[in-house]
Amino acid sequence: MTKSSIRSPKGPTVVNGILMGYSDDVLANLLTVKAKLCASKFELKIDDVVFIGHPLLLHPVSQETAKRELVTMISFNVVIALLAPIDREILMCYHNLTKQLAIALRHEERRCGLLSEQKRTIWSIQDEIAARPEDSQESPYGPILEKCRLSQQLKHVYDELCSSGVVQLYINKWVHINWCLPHKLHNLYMKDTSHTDTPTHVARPVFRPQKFLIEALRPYHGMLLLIDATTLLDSLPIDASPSLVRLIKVTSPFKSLQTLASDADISLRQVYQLVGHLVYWRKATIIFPLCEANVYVLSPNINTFVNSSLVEKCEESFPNVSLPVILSEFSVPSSLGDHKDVLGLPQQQAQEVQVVTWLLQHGLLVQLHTYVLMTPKFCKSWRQTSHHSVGTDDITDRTRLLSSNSDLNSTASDDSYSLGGRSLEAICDNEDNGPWCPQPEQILAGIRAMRNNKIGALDNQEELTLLARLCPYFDGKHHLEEIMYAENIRRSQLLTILDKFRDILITSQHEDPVISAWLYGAGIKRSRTS
Amino acid sequence: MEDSTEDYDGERVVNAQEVYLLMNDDYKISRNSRINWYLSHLNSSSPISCHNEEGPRSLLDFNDKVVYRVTPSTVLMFLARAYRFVYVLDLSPSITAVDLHSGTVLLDEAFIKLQRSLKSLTKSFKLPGSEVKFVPKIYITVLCHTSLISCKENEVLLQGCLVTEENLDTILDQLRRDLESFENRMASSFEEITDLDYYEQAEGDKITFGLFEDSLDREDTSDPAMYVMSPEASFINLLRYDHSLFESLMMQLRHHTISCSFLQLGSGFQLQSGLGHVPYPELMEFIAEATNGVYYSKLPDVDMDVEGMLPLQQSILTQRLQKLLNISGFFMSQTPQDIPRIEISSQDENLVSSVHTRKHKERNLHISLSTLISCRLRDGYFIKNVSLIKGDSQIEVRLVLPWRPGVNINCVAVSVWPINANKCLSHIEISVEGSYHFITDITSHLKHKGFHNSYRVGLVLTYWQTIQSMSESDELLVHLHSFAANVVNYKVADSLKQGVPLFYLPPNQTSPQVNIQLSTKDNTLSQFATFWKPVLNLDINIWQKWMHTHRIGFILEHDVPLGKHLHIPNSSGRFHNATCRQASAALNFFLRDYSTFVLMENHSYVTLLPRDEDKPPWSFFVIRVASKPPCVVLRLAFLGDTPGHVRDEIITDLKKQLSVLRFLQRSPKKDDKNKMNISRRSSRHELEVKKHIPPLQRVSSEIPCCVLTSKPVEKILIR
Repeated sequence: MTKSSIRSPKGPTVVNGILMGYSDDVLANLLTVKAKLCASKFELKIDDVVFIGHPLLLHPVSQETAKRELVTMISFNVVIALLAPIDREILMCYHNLTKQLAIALRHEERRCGLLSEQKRTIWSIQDEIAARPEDSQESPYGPILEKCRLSQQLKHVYDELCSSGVVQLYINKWVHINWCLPHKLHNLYMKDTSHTDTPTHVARPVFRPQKFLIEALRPYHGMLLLIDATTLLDSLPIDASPSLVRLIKVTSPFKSLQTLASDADISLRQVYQLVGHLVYWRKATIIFPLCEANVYVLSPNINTFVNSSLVEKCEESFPNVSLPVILSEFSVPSSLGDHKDVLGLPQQQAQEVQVVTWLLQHGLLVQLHTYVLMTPKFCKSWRQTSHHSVGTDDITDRTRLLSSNSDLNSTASDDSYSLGGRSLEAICDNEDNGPWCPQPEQILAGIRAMRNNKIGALDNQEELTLLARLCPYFDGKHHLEEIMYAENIRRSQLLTILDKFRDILITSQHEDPVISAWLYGAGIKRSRTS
Repeated sequence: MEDSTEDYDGERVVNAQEVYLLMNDDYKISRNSRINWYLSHLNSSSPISCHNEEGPRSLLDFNDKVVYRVTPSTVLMFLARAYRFVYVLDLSPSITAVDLHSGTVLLDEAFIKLQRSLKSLTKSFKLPGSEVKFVPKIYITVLCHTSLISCKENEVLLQGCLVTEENLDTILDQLRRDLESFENRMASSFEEITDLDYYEQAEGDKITFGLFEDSLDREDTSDPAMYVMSPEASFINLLRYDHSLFESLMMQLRHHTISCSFLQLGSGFQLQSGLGHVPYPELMEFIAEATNGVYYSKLPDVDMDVEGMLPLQQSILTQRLQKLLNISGFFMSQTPQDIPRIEISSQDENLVSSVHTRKHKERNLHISLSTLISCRLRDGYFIKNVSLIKGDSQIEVRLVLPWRPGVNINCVAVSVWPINANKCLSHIEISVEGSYHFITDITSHLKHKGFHNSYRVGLVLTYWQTIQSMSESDELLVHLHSFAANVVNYKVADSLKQGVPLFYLPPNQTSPQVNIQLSTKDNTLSQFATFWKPVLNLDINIWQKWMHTHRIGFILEHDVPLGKHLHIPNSSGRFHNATCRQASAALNFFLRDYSTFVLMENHSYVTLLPRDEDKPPWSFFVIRVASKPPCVVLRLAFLGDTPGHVRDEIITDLKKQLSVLRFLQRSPKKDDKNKMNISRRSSRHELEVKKHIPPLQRVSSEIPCCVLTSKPVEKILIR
C-alpha cells in the first residue's frame, strides 16, 4: 500500500513516481507502528522522502481477542511517499486522504472483512507464483492488480492523485472517498494561463484556502462559476446538499452574494460556506458582480503569446472573437461601460459580456477598484484646527508623488498596484500613531476652515454631512463598492462627493487585496507535484 | 428556585424563579389550561400550594412555612409522565462519508449518537429543589430513512417500545444488530447502482436528493394520544426536497405539537469536506428552534452520576411556557463574517447589517387574553416575556413566531390587569423583524409585484399569506368566542330541536344552504345561521388552531344479510360491495338524538354545553362525521377554554354509547327514540348474558353497529 512520486539522484528516493531504494521487508518494518501510535498522524522523513500516513488498529484492544480467535491482522497503515521538502499545508491534505482511506478500510473490514479477504487473495497469488518453476517466475504485482479489487482501487487513487488531484470513489462500492488537493487544482488552473516556458517561475505563495476563502468573503462579492452550471450539477454526488443545488441554479455573474442569498432563500452565512466550498474545489471563483463601472486590466502574469492554446480555446467558444485583440483592449485599465458598443446590437453587447466573463473565468483579467484617501493637506489643516501634532510634510510629498503616479501609471503591472496599495496603507499607518478616526464635527469644522480660507463658498449641507459620514472609509483601505454596500448609497452619490471634494480627496486604483491574495497565491511549488 | 422573599399573612412568601408542573396522566393538558393556570397564579394573592386544582400539578417540595408566588419573571416548566420519541435515522448514501474530525464513518457515529441520547433520556433524575425521583415513561420508535429505493430492508427497527434503564442495554444491542444488517442491505443495493457506472455517478433517478449531514431527526410529543408517523418518513423527504413545502411542514409540526430535534453527525462544515456535501445547520437549527426542539451539534457522553436533570433531559423533556431566548441562537447571527463595523458616530444607523422592524397593524379583539394567547401558541408562537405595565393596571404579553431563519413575527398582546372575566378585550400589535434585505423585499413587493426569481417571489408571497391568514384566524376566533355573548346564538328553534338540519347541501352545489324547510324569513333564524355557518365550514385539518379537537374512530358493521355476490360474480359478471347502510343509519339517528341540533345531516352536529336546558349554555362542541364506510371518524371540536376533565367525560361517555349502539329495528312501527334508549340501557347486560349467539342468528337489534379503533386506521386504507 505504498504510493510514491518524483525524481532525485542517489539513495532511497522517489524517481518518476516510483519509490526507490527500499526492499519490501524494510518498508513493511518502517511503516508498521506500535498500537500506541495508531489512530494518529504518521509522518516519517528519511533523506528526500517523506512518508505520510494514518495507521489504525483494526479492532479496539478489548474486543481484539474476544472477537477473533485467530487474529492475523492487528493494525494497518495507508502511506503516501512524497519528495521533500514539502509545505505543511499540502502535507496535511495528503494526510487527510490517507486518513479517509484508512477509516474507510477499517469500516469495511469490520463490516465484511474486506482487508482479510483481499489479504488472502494476495497471499494465494504470491504462493502460486512462488510455487512456479524459477524460470517462469514474474513479479506478483501484475496478477495481484488484476485479481485484487482493493489494489485496483488504490491504483486508481494514485492515478487520480497524479493526474487531476481529485479522488472520488466508493471503497468496496460503499464507503465514499471524496477528496481533492486544492493546491494542485488551482495550480493546474494557473498553468493554463501562465507562461508555460518559465521554469524559474516557482516561488509563489502556497494557496491557503482556510485563511483566504471564507474570512475574506463579503456580501458585495459575486461568484463566477468556472464550469458550466449544468455540468457542475451533474458532477455533484447523488445526495448533494439541496442548498448547494439551489445556489448553483440561481447563480449569475451579475449578482452579489447577498442577492444570491435572497434569490435562493438561503442565509448569507450558508452562501459563504457554499461559495468557499466551490472555490476550494475550483468550481468557482470570486469576482465583483459585473457592472458597467467595473474597471478591468490584464492580469500581470498571463500568457499573451499569440499562438497560445488559450487563443484556440477562445475561438472555440467565440468564433468571431480574437483573443489578442480583446486582450489588447484591456492592456489599459478600462471599464466595461467604456467597452460597451453603444451602437451595437443587443446580441453583440451580450456577447461582449460573455467574453469578459470568459476572460475572468480564465483568470486573464483583474479588476481594479477605486480607493479614496484624504489629502494630507486636509488632514494637516484638520489637525491644526483640532490641535494635533503636525509634521506630515514628508508624507505629503510622498503621497503627492504617489497620487500623480497612480494617475499616470494606470497601465502598469500588478507590482505597481500592490506597491501603491502598500504604500498608501503604510502612509495611513505612519500618519498617526493610532487609528485615524476623526469625529464628523471635527471634519466639518476642518472643511469649513479650509473652504473659508481657500474657496470661500460653503457647499450643500447634505453633501457635507454625507462626507462626514463617509470620512472613516477614506483611509485608502476601502474601495467604492465596499463603501456603497456598507453605507447603502448609490455610486452616483459617492461619485458626486468625490468630485465635489476632489481638492481634499485622492483616489487611487488598484486590486482588491482580498481577491488578488488567493488568485495569485494559488500556486504551489512545482517540484512537488507528481 | 427562589429569589426574593417577603411576608404574606405571617408566612414567608417566596417569589419563584422556576416552577415545575407535572401534567396529568389521563388526558392532555391543553395550552389553554396552561395559560389559564399561569394567569390565575400570576402575582396572585393566593400563592401556589401543594393542593392541586385540576390541571397541571406542581411538583414543588413544600414545607408549611413557605409559600411560593408566581411572578412575571417566573419560568414555568411542564413535565409529562409519558413521552414518545421517533428517531429517524437519515441513512442516505452520504452517510458513508468519512468524518476526519472524529475519525469514523458517519454511519458508525449514528449509532453512538443514538445510544448516548437514549441513555440520557432514560436516566432517572431528581427535579431541582425536590427529592422526588422522576422517571417518565419513554416510548421510542426507530426508523431508518434511506433514499435507496431498491433497498427492501424493513425500515422500522423498533416501534413504540417502552425503554427503561433496565432494558436499555438489550434494546441497544438489538438496535446495533438491526442497523448492521440494514447497512449490509443498503450496501448491496448501492452496489447495484454503482456497478452501472462505476467511478462516475450513480443513477440519479433511483435515488432522491439528500441533505447531507443531518443525522437523526427526532420528533417527540408528550401527547399521550398516538401519532402515526407516515411510513415513508415524509418529514425527511420534505426537508430534502425543497423549501416550497417548508411552510406546510412547519404548520404540520406546530399543529400536531411535534417538537423536532436534531443530532448532528460529523463535525459540520469544513472546507475539505467532500464535493457537494455542505451541511446547512442553520435551517435545522431554525426548525428545532421553531418547534421547541434542540439542535445538538455535539452530544457528549452521559455522566450517569448526575442526580439532577441532564442537559438533554432539561431541553427535551421539559416544555417551557416562556421561550428561553438566547440572543445568539434565536436570532441567528446573519453575517458572522460581515464587514467589521466601523464606528461611525453619526446618528445614522447602519442600514444593512442591523435588524429592522416593520409594524403591520394594531387592533382590538373582543376575546380574553388567555384565549388569544393559546390560539397564538397553537399557531407556533412562543411567549417571549410577560410584564405588568402602567402601574400594574395592564398585562403585556410579548409573543414571537420564528418564521424563517432570521425573520420573526412579533405579536404584543395587552389586556387589563387583573384579568376581568366579563370584560374580554385584548389589544394586539403585530410587527415583523428581519434583515434589511428581507424587509425591503416584502415591502417593495407591495408596490410593484415581483422579482424574476421563483424562490424569492415564493418567500414574499408566503409571507403575505401568513400575515393574511393570521388576521382571518383572529376574526374566526373572535366569532367563535362571541357564542355565549348573544342569546340568538344559542337559542335553538323547536324545529331544529326535533332534528331538522339547519343546513343542507343542494345537489350539484358545493356550498351549503340554509334549510328551506325552516322559515327562512325569520330574522333570528338567519342570525342564528350566520353564527353557525363558519362552524360548518371549519377546515378540520387546521381547526385545532381555534378549538380543542378529539377523534373517535370506528369501523361500521356491514349490512346483514350480506350480498350474495361478494365473492362470486353475478350473472352480469359483477361483484357486490359489502355495504354498511344499516349501521350508518343507526349512527345518524344516534347522533341526531345525541346532539342539541343538526348543522348538516351526516356532516356536522352541535351540542351545547351544559346540556341542561334550563341554564344558558357557555360553550358548545361540534361533532364532524368523516365517513368513508366502513371506516368512520367522528371529530369533536370543543370551544377553547373547555376544561380538560369536561371534555374527557364527554368523550368517554360518547365512546361508551357508541360501543353499545345497535342496528335499528327493522320494523319502523315503534318509536325509534324509545327503542334506542331501551337498547342502550339494557344492551350491555344482555350482551354479557347472550354472548354466544352466532352472528347469523342474531336479531338486528342485537348487532352492534361499530367497533371502536384506537389507531387511525383510516390513514392506511386503500381507497
